[in-house]
Amino acid sequence: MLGVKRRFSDSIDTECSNASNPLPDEEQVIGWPPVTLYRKNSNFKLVKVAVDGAPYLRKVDLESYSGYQQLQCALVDIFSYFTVENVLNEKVLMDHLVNRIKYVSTYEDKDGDMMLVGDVPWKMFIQTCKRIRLMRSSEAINRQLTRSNCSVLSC
Amino acid sequence: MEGALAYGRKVDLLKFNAYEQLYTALNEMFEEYAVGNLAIGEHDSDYKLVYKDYVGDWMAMGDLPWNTFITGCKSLMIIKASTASEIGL
Repeated sequence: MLGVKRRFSDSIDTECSNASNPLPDEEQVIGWPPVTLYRKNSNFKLVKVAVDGAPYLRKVDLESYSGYQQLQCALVDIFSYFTVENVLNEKVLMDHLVNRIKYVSTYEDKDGDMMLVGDVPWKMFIQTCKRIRLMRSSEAINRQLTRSNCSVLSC
Repeated sequence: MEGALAYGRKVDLLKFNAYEQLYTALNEMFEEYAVGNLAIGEHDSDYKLVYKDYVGDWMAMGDLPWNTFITGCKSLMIIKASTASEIGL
């Protein structure tokens, strides 16, 4: 068999390509990411989750949750990941334990606005949410009123 | 809400039948974040409620009948009374 070129689909790990239904050759998905072979028939909505103070972001699949309850649990897990188990930024841990700084779940919608998580029905939320940010309350609530915070009106 | 809050909220306008009901709901929602007197809709308020229509213009509340208003309103904004007078609302 020396010298025979293998198609990309043949070189994919057989575990991936033979998930539950071995696909006929014509139907194999060629391309990246190979995860499409697993997920060929299901929806997923991956969004980034940013936590104020954390050094990097995480990703969650909104379609894998049935509602806000599950999402909140996942966000709590992510928050704990950064503050308790993986303290790359000591200041985050200090804030959490010592100052009990509260965080607010917010998201960026299709219009680019930052909104509070939880106001709209879950299905609608999945469609409009582009990314999630756990915002420190001290950043969310600003007692100093400045026009610079109100860019939409500067036309 | 201008300046005071970094994130917005969503309200379902179809749940209300009149401007006053909307004002009451917004007062409850944003009272704790206001500096000064929130009291949307009242004469002595430090704030003014304006809305953005589908064309993208910022408009003062109250000129249109309620049912007409809700078909044209895309988003709401609570601004300081001083900002409102600066931009002519």
